[in-house]
Amino acid sequence: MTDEALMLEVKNGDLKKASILFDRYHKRLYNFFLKISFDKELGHDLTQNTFLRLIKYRKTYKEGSKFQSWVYQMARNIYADHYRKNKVLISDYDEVDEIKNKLELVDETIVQDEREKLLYISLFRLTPEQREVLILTRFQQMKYEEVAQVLETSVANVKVKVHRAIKALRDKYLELEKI
Amino acid sequence: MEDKKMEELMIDYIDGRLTGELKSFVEKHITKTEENRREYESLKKTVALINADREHEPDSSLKLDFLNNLEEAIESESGKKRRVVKLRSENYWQIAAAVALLAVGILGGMWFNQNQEKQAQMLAMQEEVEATKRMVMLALDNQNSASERMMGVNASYELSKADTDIINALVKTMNEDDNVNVRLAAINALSKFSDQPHVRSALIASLEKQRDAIVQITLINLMVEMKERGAINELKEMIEDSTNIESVKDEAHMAVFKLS
Repeated sequence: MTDEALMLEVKNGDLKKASILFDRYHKRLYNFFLKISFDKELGHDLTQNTFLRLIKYRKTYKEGSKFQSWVYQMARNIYADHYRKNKVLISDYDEVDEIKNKLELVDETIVQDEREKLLYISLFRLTPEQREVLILTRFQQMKYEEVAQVLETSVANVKVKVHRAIKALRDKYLELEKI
Repeated sequence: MEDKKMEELMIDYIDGRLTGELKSFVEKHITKTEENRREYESLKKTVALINADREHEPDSSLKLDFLNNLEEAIESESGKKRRVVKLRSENYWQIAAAVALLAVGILGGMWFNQNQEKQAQMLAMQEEVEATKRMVMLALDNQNSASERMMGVNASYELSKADTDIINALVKTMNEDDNVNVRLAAINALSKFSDQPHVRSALIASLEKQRDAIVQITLINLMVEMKERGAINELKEMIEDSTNIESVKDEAHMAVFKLS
């Protein structure tokens, strides 16, 4: 059964079908939130919120629209709401050690792998917008067309954003390697 | 060509999106100078790093929390339609039969003497109670649906007097049900029959069985409400138990204080 067909059944009142959508999407959404916030608890809560919102606003799902884009748009809004309310994200000024501690809380194996650790710290030092576009296109391997739908922009624009983000990431990574 | 445009082409090249002339153009550019080569290598390395990224596993609590939330959502939905749902359920016929019997009883009573009327009424009421009881037992035993079990617990409220079967089923639900909300509902239902000594002792005994903080705290508060001094020992054990979280121990402390 396709995601879209399942979502239509949820919309029509068969809420139990939401658990199949949960099984299909929760890990990806959790990783989306985790890699954009580097906060395990938050990743858990925001993933949970996304599915609660999916159930609560099921009637707004339009037949014919792609479920994946719809659910990711919801996830983005949830993250944006959270970000607006708590501007506590680690910025460029945060110390490497502080980020390292945060990463250790996410998964203690991260810091054991030097390359993975530096990658995440570099990612962390990008703007949330850059992180987001990298997570969607690269980490989650969504097609540019799909990401353009989620971000409500053109494919060309997504491509430019991805390229800029990769270059920014490269610069941050090289900086860290020098330390 | 601008540097920026060139870098973008390099990323496309690394991604394997280029073909033909454009591809050989970029290849030539890369090998032209040492600086270009370094630029290419560093971008390639970054893309490789990103590609090697792995997915992290969420805790199993994510799914459990979701299922609880889903149950709640379904529950509140069916709450809105409870009357309809109930009438549609298969117990409709049992209830209808009971009501019919009651009606027959009343009509019969009008025709016959008062004694007979009373007997018929009694019989009908008994039938109705039996029907409700059967429904409760059946629902509580439904292993597949927490909302069904929840409905069973809620239906038990309709019984003004609970017999041993119902009490035992509710106690079993309180202690063994997988779903926190169902366990909480069972505790609430049982508290209604707390004037019966064996219900009180089952509630006290449940203190040490429960592992969820919210259930533990509900039970502790119930002990205070019931002024159940017999629970003091169990409460003290909860304070000592290092596996209990602080807020549970705090509640237990307060309860011991209030009951002593």
